[in-house]
Amino acid sequence: MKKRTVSLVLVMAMMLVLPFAASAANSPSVTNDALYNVGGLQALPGVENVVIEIVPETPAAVKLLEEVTAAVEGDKPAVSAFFAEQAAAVGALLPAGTDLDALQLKELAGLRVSGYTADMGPIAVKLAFPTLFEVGKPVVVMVGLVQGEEIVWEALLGTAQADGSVLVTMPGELLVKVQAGEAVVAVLQ
Amino acid sequence: MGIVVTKFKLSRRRMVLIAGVTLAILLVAFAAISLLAGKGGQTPTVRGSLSDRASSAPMLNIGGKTVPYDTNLVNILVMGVDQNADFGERKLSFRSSGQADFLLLVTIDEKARTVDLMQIDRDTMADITILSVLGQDAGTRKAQICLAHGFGGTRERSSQLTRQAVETFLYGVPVDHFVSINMGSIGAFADALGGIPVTVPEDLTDMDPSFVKGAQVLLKGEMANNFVRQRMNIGDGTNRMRMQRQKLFMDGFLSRVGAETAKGRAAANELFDDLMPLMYTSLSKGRIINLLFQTEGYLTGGITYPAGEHTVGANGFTEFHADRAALEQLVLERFTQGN
Repeated sequence: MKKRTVSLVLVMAMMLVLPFAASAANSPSVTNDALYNVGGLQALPGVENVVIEIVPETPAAVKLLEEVTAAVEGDKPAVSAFFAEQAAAVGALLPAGTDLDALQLKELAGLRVSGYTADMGPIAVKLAFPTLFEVGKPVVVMVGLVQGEEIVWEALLGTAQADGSVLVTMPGELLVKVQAGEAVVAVLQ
Repeated sequence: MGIVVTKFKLSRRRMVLIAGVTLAILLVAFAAISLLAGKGGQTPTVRGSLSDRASSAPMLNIGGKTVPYDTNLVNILVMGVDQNADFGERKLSFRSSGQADFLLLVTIDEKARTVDLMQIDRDTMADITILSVLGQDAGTRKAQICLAHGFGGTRERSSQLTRQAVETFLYGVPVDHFVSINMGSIGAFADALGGIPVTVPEDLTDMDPSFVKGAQVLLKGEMANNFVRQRMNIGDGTNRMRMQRQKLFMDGFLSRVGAETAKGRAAANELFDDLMPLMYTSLSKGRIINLLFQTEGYLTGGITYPAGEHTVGANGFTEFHADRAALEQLVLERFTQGN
């Protein structure tokens, strides 16, 4: 160990931030957005040109999150505080007796579809988010179609996969609508 | 008989009440003591005798063995945060706090009078806490450790999540304090010191007309930022040359800080009046200055890097996988008693 005067070691440590962080710019720098992904499409014949994207921040998603945040303030349950009008549709997807207020809003993002044509029919996709969804617990995927100031919601039953993603089958009619306009996706578990 | 039973019931209720109140008082007292002795916020660390510390040492679980932590150590996590970190504007909260692109653990051993530095690769795969879009705990996942910071929503929470990820990565080594620096503050750091003197190592006039090879310049503001961070289309465009510029900046910076603090505590105090607003830290200004003077004359080595392997993950991003055996050995040697 080399003996040095280290009265400035803390400042030195702070300033070491500079070279290392800057030199890291040479390799791809991961960001939190990298934890969002849509997979499984390539395995399906006929949909090679379909692109389904989860976009973490879209104007609609940001605005919606503000509304949801305000609605659930004080730890109110997401379903009764924000998705009250969709509660029946959500409940219909789940086993009888499921406590809807136990469902937490884990994810919310923009959703985009391109390359889809109506004749392709429903498509099953794996949606990956930062949250790793727990296998065996019910998952509800809410797809929201933005129509002016309103959002028209469609509730879909998802299945948590071993890798933490959510497998969901999207109806063709819904995919056409998402592709044609602006949409968001919210996931409850 | 019935009256006796009633009396007995009343007496028991009273006993339960008294026991409950006593327990509550004990719990409040315990909580207060824990808070005072805890590592949170800017509360000074409570210092007992060495034997006191050993008896209350946290236990680290390393390779299936429980080993007592060396309580003579003070660990400070220095993190450099992506300059695009967004704390002011809400956006998609708990996802927009930026990455901790740089992580350095400074370990001060007050007994051995040493200072050790360990840099943790930003891409180290580690267990990080995920927050839902509403800020609720949504479990943990294995991901690049730099991402832990992105989930906080506030500088405090992001820093705490990063601290937690580092502690978990190091088998429970407690991180006593953190210092968070926004990477966009480089110019401001230079300004706070009245500029950083450097000799321009190569022709960099594409970056700034005054950056003629061999010229003595005083780096300030955006000029300092460019000098340290730019690479593409500058000089020979290599990272090697950029790192050379960074070293020059470091040398100049340390020279300036050294000159200021050598004037004594009053000067150090004045300097940190300017530097503190550029950082977010659990340390008070006074504590930092005390540490600076306290560690004067301590022994230090170079920076230690946990051994491991860089790979490219399925999503195309770099991953660093620490060698578990080597990491266990490193933690044992550096952070446990008797090593």
